[in-house]
Amino acid sequence: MSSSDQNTPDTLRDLANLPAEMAPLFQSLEAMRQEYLRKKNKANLISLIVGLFGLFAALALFASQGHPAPGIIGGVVVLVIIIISRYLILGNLLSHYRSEFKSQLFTQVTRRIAPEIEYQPEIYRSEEDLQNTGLINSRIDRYSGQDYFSGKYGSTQMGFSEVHAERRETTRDSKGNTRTRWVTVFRGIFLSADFHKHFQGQVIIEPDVAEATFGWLGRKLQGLSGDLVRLESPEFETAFKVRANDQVEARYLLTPTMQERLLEMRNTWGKNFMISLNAGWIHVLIPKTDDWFECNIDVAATDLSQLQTFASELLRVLAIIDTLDLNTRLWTKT
Amino acid sequence: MRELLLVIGVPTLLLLLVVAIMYNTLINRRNQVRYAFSCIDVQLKKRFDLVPNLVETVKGYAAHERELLTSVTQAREAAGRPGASWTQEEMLQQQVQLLIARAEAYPELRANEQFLLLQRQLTECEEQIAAARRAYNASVMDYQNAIGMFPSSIIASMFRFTAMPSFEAAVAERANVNVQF
Repeated sequence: MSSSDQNTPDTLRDLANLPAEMAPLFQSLEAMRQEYLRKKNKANLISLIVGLFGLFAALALFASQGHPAPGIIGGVVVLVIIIISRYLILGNLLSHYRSEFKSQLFTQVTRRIAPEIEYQPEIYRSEEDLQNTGLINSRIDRYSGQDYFSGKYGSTQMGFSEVHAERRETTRDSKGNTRTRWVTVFRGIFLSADFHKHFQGQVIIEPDVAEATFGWLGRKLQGLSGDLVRLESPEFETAFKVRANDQVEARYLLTPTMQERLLEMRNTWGKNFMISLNAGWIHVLIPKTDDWFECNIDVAATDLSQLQTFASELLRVLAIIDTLDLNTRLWTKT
Repeated sequence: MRELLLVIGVPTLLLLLVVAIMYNTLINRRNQVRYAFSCIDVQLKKRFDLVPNLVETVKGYAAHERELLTSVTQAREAAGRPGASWTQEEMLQQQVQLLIARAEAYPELRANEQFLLLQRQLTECEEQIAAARRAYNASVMDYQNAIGMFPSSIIASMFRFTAMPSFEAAVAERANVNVQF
């Protein structure tokens, strides 16, 4: 099956058969969800009763002693009781439901869309892989991620996941107080795929902020770095800045057709994505702030809209391989 | 006296510095053009070396394409002579493309691993030649800008930096290849 065949809306329509094929799984997940909602309601009721009791007790203490301290202490005790009781009632039901939903249902959907791709919801691409792309110019102090997809799509070996890389920044004010905050270095989709041509060097393609803002002057300033590659398409040149350690190899990889494809990708994903071509692989970083590949506890497990959303998100990422035409293997790399 | 030296010396030194920077930039750009040109040669040599293998492979399955095989061999010989022109290189490219297109009519040849590998290598080679030409044209454009724009144009004319030709696709290359069986 070719990759383009997989991207038809039929894939989404096929999902309609899933509840019938896997009725027990849907029912057990829905039962788990209902149990969580029931316990959540119970926990909310207990929290309300304990909270009201605490409030009245604090007011009574304040009225009898005329001092706020006993009331505040009582309030803290009530809050701790509420947190502990909620934990005892709900436990890790929510995370367990999400984990089961993703590992059972999303795995099935992934198999239907791309049979050779494996989905592991708890795993993510490594920090080392991200650093090796050559696209991150910052220290990373905290790193997390989820939703790792890996395997073969058409003829192309690939892998991607959501990742979140952060840097700690400590500032000191005039009074000597230190304040620590976390700055996002990159948050979004990190995809790597086997490029369809052999190459040795490195090519970096980034949004061209300088040329888009300062025009001719921006281009001149970029040119000072020495490794800048100027390509023929004016539209591409305005949109992207290309740096490479081999001018000829960069043009071998960024043919006029590939430049068109990258512009098409820009129309789909916006102007902030970055690409590096490194030792035979293409790495794509697509920034985004919302979580993809997630299920919603407020929606019934049997409701297909969640699966369709998941499928649309997955197809959208896989479409990058088609947009860049990586499954066409006319060259010696098969 | 000291003031006079400062008034004349400092501007002269600055001027000499500017001239030296411009001169070095022009030398650098000219060297880039020469390097880019040599890159095309490397890729052309690769194609040149692949052609005999292609001819031998096709001969085994499509012997009665003798006329075309001969013209491919002749085009290769012409392109391999010292001082061969771009037109002769383009002629070789066209003949090779024609041979591959004709070979498509022979199912046994199409299924031959050696032929498929050669076809892929030649496709890769053609793209590398195209990339090398584009890199050459880009470096020629940078060089022409440097020798044509003020004030580096003054230094260029003083030190006889002359214009270099860019590579343009021949008219024949733009036309579709007419394949007849």
